[in-house]
Amino acid sequence: MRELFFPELRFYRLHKMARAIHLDSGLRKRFREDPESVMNEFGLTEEEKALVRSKDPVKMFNEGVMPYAIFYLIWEAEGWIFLPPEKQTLYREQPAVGPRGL
Amino acid sequence: MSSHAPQIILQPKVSDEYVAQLAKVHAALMNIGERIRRKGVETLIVFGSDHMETFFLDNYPQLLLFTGESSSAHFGGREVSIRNDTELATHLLYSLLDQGFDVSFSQEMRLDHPFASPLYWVLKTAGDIRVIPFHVNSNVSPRVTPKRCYQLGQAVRRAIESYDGDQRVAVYGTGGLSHYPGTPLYGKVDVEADQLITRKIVEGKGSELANLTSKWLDETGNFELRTWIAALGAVGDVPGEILLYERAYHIGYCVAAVDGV
Repeated sequence: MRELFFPELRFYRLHKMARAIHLDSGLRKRFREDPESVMNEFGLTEEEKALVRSKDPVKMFNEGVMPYAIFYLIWEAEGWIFLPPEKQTLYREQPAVGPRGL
Repeated sequence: MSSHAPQIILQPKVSDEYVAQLAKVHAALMNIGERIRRKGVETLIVFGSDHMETFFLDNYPQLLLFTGESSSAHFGGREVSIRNDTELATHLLYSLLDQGFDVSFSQEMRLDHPFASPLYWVLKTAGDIRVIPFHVNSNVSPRVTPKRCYQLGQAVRRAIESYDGDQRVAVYGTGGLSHYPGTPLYGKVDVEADQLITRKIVEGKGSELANLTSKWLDETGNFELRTWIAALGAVGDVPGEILLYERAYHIGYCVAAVDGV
């Protein structure tokens, strides 16, 4: 993977759509109701469409989607930002390994 | 210097603890505004970093000064408007170019959460001040190096010192501290890294933060420290004060102040 926050050229349309959804609440509502038509308007490739349909932020990140586009599509458009902390965070502390028997 | 997370304005009521933490952040930001007013600051230069909101990948600037008359942000149901100090902004632009910083400029641009989140609270108490927004790219790679950000701050100071006007000027960096938005690490906060940063500020060793690498900033979720480093370059190595540090579920919230000399 390239440097964190590098906008991969092959995701240009996805990034453009994610930003537009972030900035325009009307478009965000339309995306929630009919994501396929919004993806077509922005001309997403099949690879981009599959990632958006997955609604899987880890998969998107691992494929190289820009983290802010992921934030706009998942935390904002899917409303994660208003969920309880444990439902919207992905990172989990590793439990400390104590001595056996404790 | 302070955090700028969108939640500072959106105020999602995700837990009682978080609501209480945000109230402390708001109070600390209004405290900064009061300090600005007490010191008679007339112009505030704000180093903030766009997140692919104001700008997009059709034309993405590394450094950009706003030289237009006024701007506003509409965000989370709130509006934040600023009036620019256009003469000083234009002087800054010329001076920085003379000093070897090829800064872009804009006379018409909307603002977004990196500026609006803290300014919404700071401007409540700061009085009638002018604001010069200065974009320092921290969030779209490739980005300005931390060392260059520090040098930029030093050059901004020289530009202000060479200005004919007599207005009192303060600088502000927005962003951070540790957070990992949009990544599988969202929810991690590198408190140790944040403590290293706040200790340097308290000790008046901001110049040492310029030696942090971009890699370290990314690994510790502190990539937005670039804007703080620029502000510290302008104020110089004088001891600062941490008004607030709160480890929230998604970020290390921090508000800090340094009295420049």
